[in-house]
Amino acid sequence: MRRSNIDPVSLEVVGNYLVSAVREMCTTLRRAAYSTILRESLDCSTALFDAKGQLIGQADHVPSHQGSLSLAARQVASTFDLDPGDVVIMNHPYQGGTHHPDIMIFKPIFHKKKCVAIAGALGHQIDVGGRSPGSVSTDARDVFEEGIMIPPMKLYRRGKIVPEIFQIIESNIRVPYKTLGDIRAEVAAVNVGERRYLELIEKYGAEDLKAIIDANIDRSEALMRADLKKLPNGSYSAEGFLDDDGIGDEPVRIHVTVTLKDGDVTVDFTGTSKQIKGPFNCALSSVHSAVFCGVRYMTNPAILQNEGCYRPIKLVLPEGTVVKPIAPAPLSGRFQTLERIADTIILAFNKARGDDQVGSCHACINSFALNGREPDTDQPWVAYEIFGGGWGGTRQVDGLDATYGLMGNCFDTPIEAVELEYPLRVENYALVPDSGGAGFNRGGMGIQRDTRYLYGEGYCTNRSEVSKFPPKGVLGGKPGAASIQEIKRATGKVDRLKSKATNLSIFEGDVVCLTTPGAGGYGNPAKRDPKRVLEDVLDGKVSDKAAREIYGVVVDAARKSVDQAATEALRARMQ
Amino acid sequence: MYYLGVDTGGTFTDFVALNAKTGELITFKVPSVPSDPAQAVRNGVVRLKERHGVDPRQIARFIYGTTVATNAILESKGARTALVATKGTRDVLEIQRMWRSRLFDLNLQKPKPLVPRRDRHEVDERMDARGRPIVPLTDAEAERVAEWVAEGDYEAVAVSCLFSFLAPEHEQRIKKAIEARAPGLPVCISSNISPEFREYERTATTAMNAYVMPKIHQMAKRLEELLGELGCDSGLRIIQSNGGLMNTETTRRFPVNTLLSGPAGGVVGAAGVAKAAGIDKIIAMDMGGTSLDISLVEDGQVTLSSEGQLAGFPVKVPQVNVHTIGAGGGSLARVVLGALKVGPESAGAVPGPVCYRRGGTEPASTDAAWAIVQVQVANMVTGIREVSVAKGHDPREFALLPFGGAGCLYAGLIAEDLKMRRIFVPVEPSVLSAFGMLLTDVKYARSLTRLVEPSEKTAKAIAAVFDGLEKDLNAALKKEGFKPAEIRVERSCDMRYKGQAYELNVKLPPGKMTPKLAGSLAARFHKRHHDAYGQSSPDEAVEIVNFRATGMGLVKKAQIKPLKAAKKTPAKAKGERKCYFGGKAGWKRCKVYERSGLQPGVKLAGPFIVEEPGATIVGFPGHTLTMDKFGNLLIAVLARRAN
Repeated sequence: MRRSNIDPVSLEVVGNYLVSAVREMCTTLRRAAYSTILRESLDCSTALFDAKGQLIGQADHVPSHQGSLSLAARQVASTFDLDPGDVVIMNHPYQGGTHHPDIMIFKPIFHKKKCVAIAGALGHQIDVGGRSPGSVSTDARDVFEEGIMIPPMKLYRRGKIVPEIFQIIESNIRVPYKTLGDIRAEVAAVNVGERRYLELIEKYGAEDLKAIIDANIDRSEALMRADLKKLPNGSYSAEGFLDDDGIGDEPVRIHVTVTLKDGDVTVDFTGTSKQIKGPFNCALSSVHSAVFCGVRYMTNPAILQNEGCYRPIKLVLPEGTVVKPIAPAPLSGRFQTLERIADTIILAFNKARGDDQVGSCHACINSFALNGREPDTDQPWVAYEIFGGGWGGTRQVDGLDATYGLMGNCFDTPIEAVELEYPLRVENYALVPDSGGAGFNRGGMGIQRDTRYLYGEGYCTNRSEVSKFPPKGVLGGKPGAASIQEIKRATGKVDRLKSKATNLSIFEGDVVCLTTPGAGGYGNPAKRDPKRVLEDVLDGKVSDKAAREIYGVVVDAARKSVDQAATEALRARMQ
Repeated sequence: MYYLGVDTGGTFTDFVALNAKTGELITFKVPSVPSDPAQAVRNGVVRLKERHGVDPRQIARFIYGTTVATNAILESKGARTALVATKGTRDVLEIQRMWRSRLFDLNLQKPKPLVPRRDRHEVDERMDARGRPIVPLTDAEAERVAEWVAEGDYEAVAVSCLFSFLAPEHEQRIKKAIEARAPGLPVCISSNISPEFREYERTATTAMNAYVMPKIHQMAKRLEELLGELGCDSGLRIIQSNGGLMNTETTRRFPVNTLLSGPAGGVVGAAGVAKAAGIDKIIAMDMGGTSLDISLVEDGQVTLSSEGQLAGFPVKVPQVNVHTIGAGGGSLARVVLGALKVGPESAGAVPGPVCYRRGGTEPASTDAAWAIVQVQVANMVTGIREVSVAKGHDPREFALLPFGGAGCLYAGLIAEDLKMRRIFVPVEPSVLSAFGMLLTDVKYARSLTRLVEPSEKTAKAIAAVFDGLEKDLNAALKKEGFKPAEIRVERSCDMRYKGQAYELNVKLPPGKMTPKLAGSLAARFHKRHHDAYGQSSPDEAVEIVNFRATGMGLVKKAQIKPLKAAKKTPAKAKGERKCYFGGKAGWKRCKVYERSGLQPGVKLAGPFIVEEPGATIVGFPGHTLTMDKFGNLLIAVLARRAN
């Protein structure tokens, strides 16, 4: 089929079909999975690629996986001699992976003895060994401390499992029955992807299908460029900071210069910190996905997700920096850096967007891992919990409250799931008043989650961020609140934690308290409609004091109304 | 004596009255009155008397399908509702599990919780994961909460405590305290509404129930008064989301069970007519003006799901498996249309594919119209795939059953695309939902979350849980006047591999829960897992998570009877029309028939059009039509290539 002969209906139908096939893959993964991080939180993604490893279908799963799977698929396609029935497993961060816990599974799809496509799945595993339970250490010195590394290799050869690989993994991790069950779930997912793709071939024929898919990729590219062209050509810089590298106290700088030229965009990281000692460096596939997501937020969300979306984007990554570290620099905490990169790119774009700007997102993940032993059976357990915070206010709307960040999209673990599964009790899960940066449109709020450790003793690793540099507001908007992590000891003592702290001892009766960051506001808070401030005050999202001092709104609590005269007078004084 | 089914839609209220003796059907539509749905019911009952001579006193059963609750939620016009939740959890309703429905959108907004933060109150009590009270609820605390609610000027109250599905005592006591303090205020508790784990989903479902309670109470009262005025003493039954009927008292307590009231009637109707005609596998497609409801029926059995959603909120109660494509299809067509007019660059939204290809040249109008049809068909096909292929069913094994106004127009194209071989157009497809209400029993579902490993050893524990559920169901049905012989209970278990979090429902055969039956449960689950996901792990441990029982009070239902034999006359076309069929077929002249003029045994070869009040049936080139003895139309579909 010639490119020009492709009918628009086939384009649409094939595009939708691929998305629904990928969704079905992920549903399969979730329903068959064992660990809470996959089955309740859905920290996983699935995708379909062409034979060269170009992304052809992805659904609305975790954004940080988006570019990563793609780069790894390309690696698999270009380096392997693939046979029908093969399944490839990998997590090696310096060979196409992201970080140790993300185990990827790929299956080549064969039609008439030819590899025509690849199905991929990525699942964050609850534990892959290394120096801290949950494999989330914040002070590893090199990749060897971070867990088992699996270079791309065949888990199945021509449909037959290679049991030794499972055996090696099994003897290197803390809760093998869960992780091996989760890997099986990933294999089930790629099998579903294979079935669906072959159905599509049956319908269109392999060649026509390829032509249609290629046309869809071109179309996404054209739509991306059309959106990017709407912004003025030029170079725009911004910088953002991580609290520290997990070992020292020095902040880590992310510096980007975004250059726009007629629909092309170059993101240059010159000025970014040298590679750091702790595990917040980023592997190539991770940086790729962070840059892609940052730019993607500047274009229409409805554009079909595929290789074409990447094409307008070029990266400049100086060697030996946080964004291009030299092996074996540690990197399993790279998610915090990815969030910071995406947010910094959006801040740079702000400078090209006139008044259509966005406040800083909380842009991190606040998380902790705990381990211990079951009271009845003495079996080991590992829990890993992840939380989001606020999103920046925009010209149009208040930012989202309590939502995963720019690079994440999971579900929290239900309190009842936590308590059914682990000897833990969640005692508080609440929005944090005044955490959303004030503004004409308010930044979103963070949450507080308090988890009591009920039995025996174990270790707690805090892997959080944004405790030192609160998310910035724009155009007069105020910053959101920073994060706080504490352990309230059973003895009554309160330990304020560094935002990154590994293997702290924890005992029966201690409570881990996480307060996640809010986000930056948009525009002058004294211009916010007093009625909207009143609503927030009545809902306890903004305090009386903040309403008065920052928004210039006086609330008549008894009458649940705005004191108009007092408000006008106060706002006049604030000018 | 007549049985009457009434289905309220956005535009029309459909009436189907069945003469219980003769089996004769009276069907008609009256305009709906959105501000007062009962008014349309009155108009219909009056018309039934005036035009058809059916006195309201002759109505032995009155069954009603309602959209009152659904509309209240879609339009945010429910009650001023309070939520009482375990200390530390009132924001669970607003955090909505931190998830967002769409990526890369900085202006995204989540659905506003039905109960705003100021109306969510915490209670100091706590059950642990084994249902033990680690912070017992004191009387003083229950009293304090009741007082807060009573002083708050609320119209309804939802109570949701952690682990109430294991230990409902605290919720029950809070409810009592509130009722004592504020008599007449409707209160519902999560252990009654959705006794399953995951607090957000359970709380949201309970809040939704409370939110629509007053509207449903008002509706039930208004209708009961109306029936009284009209002299109809049949009582009132409402069709619920699970396809069964409930009395008004139950409806008042569980209004959240009416959210799919209308579509459920359609699914039951579709399953019933298909089963009578000897077709056991159908995909039913109800296409109204604004939405398309798709469902899948096997062996005449309506399948239920316990995971639904409405307006972005989870609804965790058993409901017919209906997949609704709302504005999606329409709005996509609008984008395409708009772009066709103004060109891709100025459209603002992402231009659809049709215009993207155009690049500025105006396509012939037939092309444009046909392209829109095809994109709509593609959406419907995607919807059908969601209920079939995505759940492991091959659509080629199913007959397509279109109903509602517009379904029959598109059926031919959809069937071709999915390689479905048969289309089944029932009698009177435009009022099938109301007809379905005459085909169903009173049906109550109960469920309970208990983690049990099934084996011969646990047979007693399993039997004890089921016995409790069955006792409860029998009592409820007995109260409704059913005799033991008219009561049937079906049991099933939601099971999973230990360590998984999502369950598959496994049906149990009737009979005593013997060790042998209990011992067979794991094997039944392995098979079910293999059927659903293409793999199973027979070495892994299996556990039961939810016990489910459905009690049915059997009622006399509409009988679907063959048409009286008439003298055979060949089909006579009432005219001829030029129609566009796309692809190679292009423009074709085709004959137009009146459905009432067709008789069993008739055979038509496509292309053709069959018209009847409320529906137009299109036969494509290569398709052939026959009529069965009940008057249903069967179209054999010739597979064509997709493009």
